[in-house]
Amino acid sequence: LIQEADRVRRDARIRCDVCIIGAGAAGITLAAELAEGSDLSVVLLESGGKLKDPDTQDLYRGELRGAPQYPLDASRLRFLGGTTNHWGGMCRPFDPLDFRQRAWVPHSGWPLGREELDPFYERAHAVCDLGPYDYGQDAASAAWPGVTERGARLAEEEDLEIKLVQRSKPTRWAKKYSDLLAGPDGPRVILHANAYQIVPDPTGSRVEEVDVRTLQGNRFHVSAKNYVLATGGVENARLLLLSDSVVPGGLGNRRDLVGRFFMDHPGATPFGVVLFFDRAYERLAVEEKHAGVGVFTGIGMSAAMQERERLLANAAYMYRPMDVPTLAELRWLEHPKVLDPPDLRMLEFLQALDPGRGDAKGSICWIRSEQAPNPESRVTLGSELDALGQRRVVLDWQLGELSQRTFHRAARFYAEVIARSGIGRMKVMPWLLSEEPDWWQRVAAGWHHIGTTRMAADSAHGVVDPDGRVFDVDNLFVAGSSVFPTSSYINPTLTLVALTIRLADHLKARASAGGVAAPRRAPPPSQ
Amino acid sequence: MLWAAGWVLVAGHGLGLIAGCDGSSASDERLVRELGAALAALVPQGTAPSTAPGRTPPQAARALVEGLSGAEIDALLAAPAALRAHLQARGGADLAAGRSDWVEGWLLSRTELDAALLAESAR
Repeated sequence: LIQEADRVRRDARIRCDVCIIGAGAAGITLAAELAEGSDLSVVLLESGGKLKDPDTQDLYRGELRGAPQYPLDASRLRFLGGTTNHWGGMCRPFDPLDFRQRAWVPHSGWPLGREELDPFYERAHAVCDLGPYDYGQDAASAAWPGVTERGARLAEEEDLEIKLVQRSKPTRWAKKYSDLLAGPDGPRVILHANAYQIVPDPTGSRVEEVDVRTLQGNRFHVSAKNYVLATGGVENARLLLLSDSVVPGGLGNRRDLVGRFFMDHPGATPFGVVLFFDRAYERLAVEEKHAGVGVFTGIGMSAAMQERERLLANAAYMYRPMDVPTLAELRWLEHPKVLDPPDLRMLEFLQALDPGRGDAKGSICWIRSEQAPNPESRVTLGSELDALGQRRVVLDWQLGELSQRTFHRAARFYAEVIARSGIGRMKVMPWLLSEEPDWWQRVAAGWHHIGTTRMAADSAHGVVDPDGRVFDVDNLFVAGSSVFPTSSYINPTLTLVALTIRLADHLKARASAGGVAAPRRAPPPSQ
Repeated sequence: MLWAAGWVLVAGHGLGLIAGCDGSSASDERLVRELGAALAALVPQGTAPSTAPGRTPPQAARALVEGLSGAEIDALLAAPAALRAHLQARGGADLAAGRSDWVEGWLLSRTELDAALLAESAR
């Protein structure tokens, strides 16, 4: 059932079992999961409509500080389906090491392990329209044998891991779940409904309602037994900070942790240029389709190497290779040509020493890295107001020395293993071989907003507990990448969907145990 | 180390290693000249990368043929294919052992760097 917020009676109070704020990957997945095997009534509030509109999108606008980030009203989409409407579809679970507390990564460690998430990752695969849930080295290696002798040599490098990645169609959540969202058995979806404040009881320990407003001036309330905040890695924190009517500093923010530990995936494109002398690029740099699902591989560092050299997780990928003359003419965004005349002379030199390098193909290499959690990297509220009169966000993205060291080591390591195997040579971008003090200005953001309501075993170290519940607030949960304590190097969507499915199971079990279940009927639209 | 034995020119037979010779500058110069010419024939003019300062052509030449007998060196000088095969094998071993350096963003083996230096020195 889908309705417009401006058609809800002013000051009406809509009651339900679960109120979900935000209809993106997390919010819609949660609504869909709750619709299976439970009678919970669900209200799904979406700030936007069915299509992108500039006035709603402008609510995302904010101020940027620190390392370069994409404008906040461009990196996210504020309409039904959320940012999945421009999702690229890259999927891979976080590696087991990503969940561990690592002595060399301050503030690392999840309160749960990969093995606990595995069943949910498997279910998330169906949601994300992926192939079999198998990313092990056996599966990765299966893509390699027989390619070339040199390619196999690369895969056998002791500290190198082949990182298998699946690419979803990509799934567009609003489209995939359109029947459920519009039908009688799904949630009650209210479009153009902006959560203005989450209002707790006088003790601040239990949410009583969500104050909902529209850009046209309507307002109403949603009262639920449980509330789930699913508005993305920046807005989840923003809405908690804005919800300060009872708790100074914002809901769930007694320890000043909301908004801190903001992370993205620092990357570099190009990170390097690989000249392949060998057909190993057919596996390393070409995406294949298996039953409609894209499969490709990157290269990463083993857990042992990360631990031994005290580095962050990262992986390098190559774009589809092209003839060298074509690549030599290519300009990449604001960069000058990726191959300069001296590079072409270098290729000629290498080919002169080994005629077997004659049929070279060139590929742009890019990298995505984990970011070390940093409390000074954060989302705060600024002084500028949006059209609803709410304070806009200030995003201050701060990277640390560990990121710089990881980038530098990764550049050398990947160039070394590529050269050693004989499949080709990699030209590393010069800034990765020097100690530029403003190196962080070279880094590109990954469009992934992570960590601002981090999950922890106790309230001294995080905003939500291992179930996603806000510490000290009995009936408020957070879904999405904002709960990740660490970011890994891979896109967050699959992991946030897995965590959301886990949260859905928890809410269903909680309803069964606590008697909060009610007939799974959307409240009538006349309210 | 065979190089401790030194190099002399064996007239009419290219460069041969003769145990007991003194490793004179004359033999170094000849090795540099002969090997440089062979490499310059392989490497098109203007393509050899600049190399690290401090390395001299005699050092590069000695390193390139280290461990080879006089007959083996003669064979390299006589056949470009043999020279290439030698450079490839030695370059691969360099990379595996970490004997490499960065030049304009590229990782080159010590052998490749020495070959570049010698080729340019011969022009």
